[in-house]
Amino acid sequence: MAGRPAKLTLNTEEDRALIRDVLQGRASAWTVFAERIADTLWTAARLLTPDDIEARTAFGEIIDGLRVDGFRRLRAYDGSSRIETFTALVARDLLAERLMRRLRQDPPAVAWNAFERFFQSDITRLIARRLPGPDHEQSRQDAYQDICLALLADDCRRLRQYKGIGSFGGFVLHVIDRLLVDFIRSTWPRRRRSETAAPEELDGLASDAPSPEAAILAQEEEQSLAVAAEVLRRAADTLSAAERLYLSIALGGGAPIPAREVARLMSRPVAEIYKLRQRVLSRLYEALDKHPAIKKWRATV
Amino acid sequence: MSRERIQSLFQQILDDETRRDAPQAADLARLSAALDGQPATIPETTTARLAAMLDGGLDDGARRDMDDHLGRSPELLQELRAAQAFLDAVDAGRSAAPPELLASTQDNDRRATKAPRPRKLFWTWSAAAFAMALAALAAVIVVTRPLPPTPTTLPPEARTAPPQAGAPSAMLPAGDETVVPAPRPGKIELAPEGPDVMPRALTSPAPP
Repeated sequence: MAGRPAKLTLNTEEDRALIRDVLQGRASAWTVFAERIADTLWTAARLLTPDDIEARTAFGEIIDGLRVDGFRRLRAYDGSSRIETFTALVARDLLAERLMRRLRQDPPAVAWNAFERFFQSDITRLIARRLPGPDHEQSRQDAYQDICLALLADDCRRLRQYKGIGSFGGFVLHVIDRLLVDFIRSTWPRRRRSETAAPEELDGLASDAPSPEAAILAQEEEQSLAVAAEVLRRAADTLSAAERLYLSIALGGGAPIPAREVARLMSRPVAEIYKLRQRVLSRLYEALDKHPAIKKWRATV
Repeated sequence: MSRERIQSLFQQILDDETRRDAPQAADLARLSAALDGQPATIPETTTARLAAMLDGGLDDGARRDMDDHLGRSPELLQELRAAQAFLDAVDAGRSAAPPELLASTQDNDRRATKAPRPRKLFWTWSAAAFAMALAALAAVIVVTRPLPPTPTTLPPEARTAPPQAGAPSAMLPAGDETVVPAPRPGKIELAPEGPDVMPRALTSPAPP
């Protein structure tokens, strides 16, 4: 992964002064600002659009978007990040809003082409996180196709359900992740049954029905998952904000998430992440022991 | 179902090293929806906060707030992860903006489409209303002020009385006589009267 430092030593006094000058319309402030961010915005436009021509149009629209309403977007800048980080994310927001308009206005094929280019790396990243490793290569390709078909279905019905709460990008990413979970849920029970089935059932003549032993096992697994999900929900209400965030991040992947990656995402030292892990695990065990199903199970053992 | 199996699931969720097999990954994917709730209302400043989170620029209070938002909103957490991946990609693939595009950002004609701010708009309209009221007041004063006597308002005897020597004419405005322009020397010519200047019925009859 390309290296952005986990923690920057921020000195943004000059950045704040520059944004302030732009907002106040001081002479040459815009020129200085534009020269400073032009490469970042151009790179962002190239990454999020299908080709060079489209990127040029997108670049112009980003500039217009920054200037609209007296630089309204820039007013949120408070010096707690670098100008480049802030403007790159603002550019991404602006292009996501543009994409939303195109989905409503452009012919479906054109709009989909733009949509797929915008979210392609995110879809791939989410799939790789939930279905990691070389064993899942074919599954990842299937999942990609499955997700795209689901998004395209009924004239992009799922995407049109966005009601303006939160960002469009966050909404789309969450929809993609949930489609991916659906894909995994619909795919894996079948494969697990086939893995546990007797050899004579694998010759293509057997039905899909599991053996009685496999059915009991599957039922127990379903029960365990249901209890685990409920315990997670109950425990989450007792966690601190940082602990809950840690748990949400940990739940986001099928592959183990290295502590240093979590530390970077949560903007904390790695040692603190290990402490969070211990605390969250203790809370989950506490909630598990209090769960009625577990109490009942203990009484029968 | 057993307690050990669920404990094992929780350990898998929080484990940061052991590789998981496909069924385990599937179980964890199914559990990941357990914390889904209502979409959080995300403030306008979210982009600035995400940038600050990823640059390590939040103070303790702001970071606690962001932890809370992120822990409760799967959408926002997805956005944070996507933002981090996107910024990594921008850093890795940084390229210089084409010169003509950079020049276009300096074009003076592309001025900000600045919407009038409500407070400024209020004062603008207030000033306009005040000016109109002032104009109306001035008009009332002018209309109701007693006019200086004119030949048509003077009594008949005053109109026919010969002017006194040295006295100013009643027809002249008050002031120095020099304000009255002297007649230009030379022949006075009338401007030719066009046929459509005035309806014919109202013109004086033509000389025989």
